Amino acid sequence: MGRVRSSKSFFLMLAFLMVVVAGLAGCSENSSGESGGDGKWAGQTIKVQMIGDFAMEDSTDPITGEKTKGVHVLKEEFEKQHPGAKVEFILMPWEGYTEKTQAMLTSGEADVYQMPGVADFAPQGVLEPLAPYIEKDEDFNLDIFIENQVEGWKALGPDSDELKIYGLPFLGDARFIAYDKKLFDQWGVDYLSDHPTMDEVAEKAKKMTGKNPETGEQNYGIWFRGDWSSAFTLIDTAEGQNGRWGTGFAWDEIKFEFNSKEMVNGLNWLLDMQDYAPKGLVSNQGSENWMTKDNNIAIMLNQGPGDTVKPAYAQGLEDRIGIAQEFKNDEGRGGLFAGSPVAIAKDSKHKDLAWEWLKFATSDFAQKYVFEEMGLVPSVNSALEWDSVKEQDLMLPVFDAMKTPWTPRYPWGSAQPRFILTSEIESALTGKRDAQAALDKAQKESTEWLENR
Amino acid sequence: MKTTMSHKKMERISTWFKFIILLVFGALLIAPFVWMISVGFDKTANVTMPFPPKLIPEQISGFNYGIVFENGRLIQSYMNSAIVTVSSVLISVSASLMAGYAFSKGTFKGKKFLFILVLCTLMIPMEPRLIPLYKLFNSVDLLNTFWPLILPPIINGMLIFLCKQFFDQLPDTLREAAQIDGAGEFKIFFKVYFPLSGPIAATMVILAFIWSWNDFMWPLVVLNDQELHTVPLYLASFSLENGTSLGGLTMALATVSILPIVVVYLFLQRYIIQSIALSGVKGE
Repeated sequence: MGRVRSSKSFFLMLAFLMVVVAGLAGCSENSSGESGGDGKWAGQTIKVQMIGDFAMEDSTDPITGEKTKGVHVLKEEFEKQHPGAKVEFILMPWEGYTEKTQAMLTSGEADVYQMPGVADFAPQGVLEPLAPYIEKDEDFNLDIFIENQVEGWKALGPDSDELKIYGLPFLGDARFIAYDKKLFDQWGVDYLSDHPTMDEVAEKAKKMTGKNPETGEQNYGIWFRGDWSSAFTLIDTAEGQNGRWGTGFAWDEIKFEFNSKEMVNGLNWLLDMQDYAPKGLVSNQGSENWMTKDNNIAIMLNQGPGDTVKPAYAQGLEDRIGIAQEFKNDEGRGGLFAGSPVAIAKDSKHKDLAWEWLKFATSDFAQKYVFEEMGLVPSVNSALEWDSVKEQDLMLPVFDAMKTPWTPRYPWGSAQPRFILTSEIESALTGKRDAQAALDKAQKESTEWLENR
Repeated sequence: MKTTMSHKKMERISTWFKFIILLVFGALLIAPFVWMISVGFDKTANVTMPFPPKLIPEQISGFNYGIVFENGRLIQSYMNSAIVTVSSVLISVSASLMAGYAFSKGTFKGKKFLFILVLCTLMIPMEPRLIPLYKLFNSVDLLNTFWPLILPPIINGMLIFLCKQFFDQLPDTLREAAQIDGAGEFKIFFKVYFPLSGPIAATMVILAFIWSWNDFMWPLVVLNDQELHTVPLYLASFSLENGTSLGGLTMALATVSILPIVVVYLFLQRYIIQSIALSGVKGE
């Protein structure tokens, strides 16, 4: 009897909980009706997707500890500038952004997307080409952007073999060589030049490996990630010798040159640099003291502003950190192009308002917000004149680094060839294969992948 | 007499030896958790993880926990996770128990084929199902609600398989006796087999709870409003683009977010051991 009662009460409880859950789940539905009110844009609502640690409400920056304003600031200003219009945000983390963006585009969930993967999405025909808007809008000029930024985000459309503008630069990013001036001083070595060569970096890294003459502690001349970003580090060494990753942009046009003479030299150079680096490059180890007062590494290859500029100022190390440019070819080009553009969805119902948002997102108001509140890198030239930028000397070489990366961005940067190349660099760094064999294998496997995709 | 003393002494030494070995392995197993809690109290770990790992941070600070509980977003995400997890667990466990019973004791046409079909669902990962499922819920206007998280686990191949395996071990004679007494299938299930299914139900609750609580990709795709985000989504909102993470904050968040799972496991652990013994899911 007891068991029967308990099974009855279990199902009564289940039924009760189902009712409660139904209520709660149903109540959670987000109302997103069109806005009312007067004004030129009355009745129009746009949904804007943003990726990163954006939040609606004000919060505390985990690195600096300072209070930062939420994106409600952007909403209020845009709605003020566009009477009658309404903005809704879809804020999401970096993790899984590709899948979510794909799903959202499939069902027309948002009007505007922050879209680092524009080169993958534009060929699907889900994005609006921006040239007609740019040509029509007399108030807008592409010259506002830092050199090379617009070029870097160009992509191929579904029926075109010509690169077109599908996104306007929103967040800037760059890769550069960072170094510790204090260690250079202690070793009596001249700082890196603004555009160092591989020979200069190698020579200085060698000099600063060993017992520090002042502290007696073990120092290492150089460090680079042998795993996650190693493909881009290697490609940059090839570019420094006037080499390249290959040619083409559309998948059916791409030809890899992963085992070219410059790439093999570059990998051999990285293997040589291993002698001046702490152990554990392939497992992202050895740099644990970087950006602390106990730092023991002189030169860091392939660094980004996110892991250099803000942490340096937060730790009070801004006078100790120097930034030099990555290796460039004879035309001054080289390094990874990165960041995020903003794009309009093809099936947006309010494309004109979405275009207004794109202009707003690249205006000084929004760009100052991303720099001053979020610590992200702006994409506009005017940033060089802002007081907040002038207060951070380290930002100036970052803007320089944004002007000269390889563009358009490596089209295979988020696809299988990157992981094949990374894997073979790991093989070389761990002594499983020599540089030539590793890159021959990377070339063969990447080409096969391309042919079979 | 001397031999007895020596035997007792040997036993004592052996006990101490076992105790020390267990203590060492226990310490090794618990070390990552202790480290996680320790780093959570270290503000500077947001820039660089302390190296070598230290048991106690140099400057103990509640900074990271302050951010964790700021604006009530974590509390909100806990409530969201609780609604989703409790509902999903109740529905998936109840449905799986009934389906498992049907596949085990039921006699109907196409039973084997249907069971193979259910097992096949185990072989399809979430990624290829993502877009079709998304479009399905979009077509019925249920995106950005908790329903897409609650409804799909009704058919859970793994849980149905576990239940079938469990009910297979219970004698058919129970069912036959009940049938002789005039009971129908529902009555037999609810009054005879369901009361005996405590251990497997507890195992399923634990598994379903962990799956639902930790699920990231599907909730990320279907929930747009930050107010509806579950705990893993809240956790991921602090990740940075370049593959690095805010060590101190992440550890503080991880500490707080695993607490419910630890509590549930502590309450139900004896059932899971019991069910392993009964259902033979120990990989033999």
